[in-house]
Order: sequence, then C-alpha cells, then structure tokens
Amino acid sequence: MRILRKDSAAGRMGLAAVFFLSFFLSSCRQAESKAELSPLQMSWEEVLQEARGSTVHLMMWQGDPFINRYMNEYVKPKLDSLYGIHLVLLEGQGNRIVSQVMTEKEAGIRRGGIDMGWINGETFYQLRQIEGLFGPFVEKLPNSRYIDFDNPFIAFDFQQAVEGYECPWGNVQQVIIYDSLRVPDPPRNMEALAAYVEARPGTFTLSNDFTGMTLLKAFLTELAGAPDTFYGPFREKTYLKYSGKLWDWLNHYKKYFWRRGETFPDAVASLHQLFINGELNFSMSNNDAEVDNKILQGLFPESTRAYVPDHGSIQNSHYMGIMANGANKAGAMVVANFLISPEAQWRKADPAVWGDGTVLARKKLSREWQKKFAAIPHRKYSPSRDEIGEKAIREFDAEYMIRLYEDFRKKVIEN
Amino acid sequence: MRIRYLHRKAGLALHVLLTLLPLAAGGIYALLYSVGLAGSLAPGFTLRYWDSLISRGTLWQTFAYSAYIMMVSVLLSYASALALVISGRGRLMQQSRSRIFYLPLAMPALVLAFFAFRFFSGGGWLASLAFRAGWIESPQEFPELVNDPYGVGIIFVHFLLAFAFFSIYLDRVYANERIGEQVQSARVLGAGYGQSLRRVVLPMILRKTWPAVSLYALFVFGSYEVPLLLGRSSPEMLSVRIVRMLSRFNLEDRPEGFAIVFAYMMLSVLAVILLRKSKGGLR
Repeated sequence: MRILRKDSAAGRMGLAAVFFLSFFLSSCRQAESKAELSPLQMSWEEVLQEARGSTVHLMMWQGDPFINRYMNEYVKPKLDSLYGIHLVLLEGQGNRIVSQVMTEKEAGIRRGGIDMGWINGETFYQLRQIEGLFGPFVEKLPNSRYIDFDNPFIAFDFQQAVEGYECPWGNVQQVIIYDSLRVPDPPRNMEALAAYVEARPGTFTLSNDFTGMTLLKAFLTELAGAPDTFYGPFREKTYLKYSGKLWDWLNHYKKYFWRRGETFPDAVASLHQLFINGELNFSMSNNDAEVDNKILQGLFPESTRAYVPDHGSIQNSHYMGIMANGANKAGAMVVANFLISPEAQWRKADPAVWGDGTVLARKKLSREWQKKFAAIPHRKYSPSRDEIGEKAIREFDAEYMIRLYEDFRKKVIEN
Repeated sequence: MRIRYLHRKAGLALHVLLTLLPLAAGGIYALLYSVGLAGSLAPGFTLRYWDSLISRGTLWQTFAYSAYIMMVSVLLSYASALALVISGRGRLMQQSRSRIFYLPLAMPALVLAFFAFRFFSGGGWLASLAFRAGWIESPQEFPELVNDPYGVGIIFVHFLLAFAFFSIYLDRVYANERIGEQVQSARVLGAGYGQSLRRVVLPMILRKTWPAVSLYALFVFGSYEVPLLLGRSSPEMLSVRIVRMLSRFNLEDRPEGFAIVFAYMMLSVLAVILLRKSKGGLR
C-alpha cells in the first residue's frame, strides 16, 4: 500500500487491476449460473438454440489421416453450416482424457477444457469410476432412435451397460494383419501360431497396450473353449485358471517372439512400423478396416491382408462421451447427434473414407438410407464385416483387462 | 538504491512464485497422493502404495538402469569432448567447421531418437545395407542396437546430444580460463606434456565444469522421449515408468506413480543440495 500511495501511476494501475478482476469474476459467475441449466432439462429445440454459435472442444486420437480428413473436411464444415457450431479437435486419447478430467476434478475446476471425448470401454470404465461423464444424455438425441441397442456389442461396453452415458459412434473388430507374400498360410489357432514362431523365430509379437491385451482375451477364449466363459461379471477362479495356462504358453513360446520376448512394442503404431520395415510378418489392429485404409495410404504393401483366427476376436464399439465438467454440454450433444445421423454414419462406413462399422440398425432407417448403406463398396483386402462378425467375441468385464495388464507385465515381461 | 533493492526483492519473489512454489506444491501433492490423501479415489491415509512399490523390487531396477544410462552417456561424451578440446587447445569453436557442433543441439531429442531407430533397427538403413552386402539374410539376424538389453540406442542418442554440448562448453572454459597459457608456463618451468595435462589441464577443467556436468547428468537421468522410443519394456528408465504408471488402465496404480515422482524429486533436491555444499559446486 505504501508503494501505491507513493506512486500514483502504480496506484491507478492497481485500482484498474482490482476493477478488471472483479469484472472478470462476476462474468465467470454469470457464465457459471447459465451453464448450471442442464441441457437434459431442455427441449431439443432449446438445446439447439443454446448450442448455436458456440465452440465445442472434442478430444480424440488423430493418428489416422482418413479419420482426420473425415472430421476436418466433412464433420466440421457440416456442423458449422447446419448448427453454427465451431468444432475444435484436441489431440489426445483415453489416458490423456482421463488424466485431464481427473486433474480438473481434483482441482475443483467446474468448466473443464474438454467438452467431449472419443472413448472406448477402457476409458468409459475409468471415467465412470471418477464420475467424469455427463448423462444420461443419449436418449435425448433425436438420432438415437436409429441406434442398434438390441446389439450387445453396442449396448454394453466392457460388460457394463452404457446407460446413456456415452453415445455409440462406430463398431470394430480386432483383426490380425499379415503379408500374404511372406505368410501364405497364416496360423488359425494358438497351436499353429506356436508352430509358426518356432519355424520362423523373431517374426511375431504383440504390443503391450490395449490392442495386445485384446489379443490376449482372444487367446483366453481359445484356452477356455467357449467365449461365454468370460461373459458376465469378473470371476477370480475363472481368470486364474485360464490366465495361468496363458502365461505358461507365452513364457514357453516367447523365446521365439521378436527380440526373444524380452521386450514388446509399447503401442500398436510401433508394431505397424516393425511390420512395414519387414522385421515382423504380423501386425494387428482393433479397426477391421485398417488394412484397406493403410494400403490406400500407401503405408502397407498391397499384399497385406487381414483375418480373424478360428478362436475369434473381440468386437467392440467406440463412443462419444460428454464430460461432466464440460463447459458446453448442449453443443456437445448436438455434435453427438450429428455424428450418429444416417448421413454421417453412411459416409464414415465407406472404406474410401474411413470404413468404420455403423452403430445404426439398418431396419430402423428409411428405405432410401437402407439402400445407400447396402450400396457401400466392399473392402478389397480384408474379409467382410459379416464374415468376421461370425467369430466376434464380446468384451470381458473391465477387471479382466486390469489383471491382464498387470500380470502380463509381472509374469511375462519381468519374468 | 531503494529501487534497486525493491527490484532485487521482486525478482526473488517472482523466482519463488514461478519456479520454487509450483515445484514444492507438486512435491507435496505427489506425497499426499502417494499416501492416499489426495486424488479422486483417495482411500485415506495408507502406506500400502509405498509398501507395494518397495517390495516389488523393480523400482530399484528402474533407478539402477537410469543411473547406468546416465553414467555411461555422460562419461563417454564428456571424455570424448575433453579429448577433442585438449587436442584443439581451446580453439575448436574458432574454426568455421565448428558449426557442426551446434547441429545436434538444434534437433529435438525425439527427432534424433527416431533417426537412431530408422538407422539401427533390424529393418533400418544399416540393416538394409548389411542385407545388400550379403552379411545378413533377414532383419532378425541384424545385431540389436535399439530396444536392446544394454541401452545402446539410448546411449548413442544421449552421446550425440551431450558430446556437442560438452565440446562447446569445455572449449569455452579452456579459452576463458586461459588454460593454454597455464600449460605453456608449466612447460617453461620444466613440466612434461603428461604432467601438465594431469596437474594443470584436467584439475582446472574438472573443477570448473563438474557442477554443470552433474546437472546435465540429472537431465539424462530423467529423460523421457529417447528411452520411450529406443528402450525396452523392462527395465525402464524412470520417466518412462512414471508416465506409464500415471496413465495405467487401473486408476488404483496412480498413487504408486506419484510415489516414484516424489522419490525422484527428493533425489534431485538432494543432488542439488550436495552440489551446493561441495567445494566449487553450484553458487
């Protein structure tokens, strides 16, 4: 204060700062009180009105040029022209979304930096654990009437009912990727895989991430003999019985894996890299359209193919979640509604655009849209969705994933 | 005088506010998280996260592996840079070709790591050359130089970065401390080349540079991008392990990640205190 009295210019600046601070705080309070009106209590017309002219921050993985192009060249302009919404894409996936929401929640930030996020079962489970998701909002979306909620691969995420806390966006199934020139007859089960790696050591491995753990679930299914062994809530006894066999198998054969199984690529992107540069004969993907996409992008050789082994593979959906502390929930709802519109889903399902499976039930669509979906060109390098769908396995309870991650590290990597 | 005094005080306050306070707050937060007193899923005070971390044993492996990478990278690069500077007699940076030393420093560590991966991996450029020369028949036969058990790839990238830095730094020290003139005086007084090196050059350079070298070593100890790309699943370097634990699927693992963060912070603080207390250390 003494300094302020001595220097009148500084004093004026101080008063101005106090004034602006008060103004800023009162603006924040006004904005907060406006935001406290939940869009769940509004009519859809009011939601649209509230969303018009606003900005929505969507955090999503942006590692695929096809997906990026779909979002930047189709979704963003459409949202702008139809609803006056400015969509901002933020780079980041599961871990980043959970970390940011958790940190904001722990810091008491009520208007967070992410309005919505592209999430899968893993992130859904974590966000539900910390009550980070807004909802139930899905029923409020007019286009949700087309969603195929009778399909358990869509209505349940990691065996957990979605209950309107995330909006289905696409549906995928895990495939094994191989180069047909190097591997004319790919192994169809674990026994054949063991024989293959023994004959050609160092050409196979799995990533130490979501994709790798998803493959381990398929291995568990083969060891158990039936996929429904792991359906329903987590059962310790079942897990211990079959995971024990899995670790024994992996520890026996890992010496024939890439780098003798002493290390594993940290992410599926590294696995792709090793496949492209010829170190590995196999890669894998949770996106069954990936081979066609990567060949079109010129990243995979044209001899690359995808398949689902006889033991089947996990099919799951990916979703849009709205954050409980998101600043623009109304805008996020409008974006989610647009993303599940027949037009947006149809465009996304085209292999030349993205090739992502739709979450809409075709029988619920108008005849015109049914025809359009039926006319989507088939893939060239991967089996059709109907074909691989016959071997689809539902996601297990989230606890299985937690244990697989932990035990794979303890019992295989550090063993 | 008073204004200068106020400026100095304000500068100090700003330093505390912008650097020390956030660091201290981060440390306290990490400690509270690790004992179950902070975080969305905090169960209340418990030492079980520390217990599980210490009893697992891999924590010591992580610290030891990080220390090994730090020691080898820094010693190799320091010794090489020292040899180069001594042979150049402190005039290395006066030559036009000295610009080449600035090149690795201008590159982000991640870019260099990616370059090393493309160069040394089984399907990389070097392996392709070996294949064309008929030395190997498949990528699997190429020696493991990245993602390898001894951290060769990681050490190589840190060597590139540190060698450039140390060469520039040691050369400046050699010139500024007039070490060349001291050597000449010693030679006039009858000292041999080896003697002047042992008695004059090395003691002077080591005394002058070891605080900066120690800080650089701490930086290597905590490096992230390079070991992430070129390291193995196990053992991991410290920062890689911390990030993995903080982003694990099981949110219950986060407190263990914060426990390592806290231990690492304490280790760094201890190192800085020891450096300050030591003769010729940080001032």
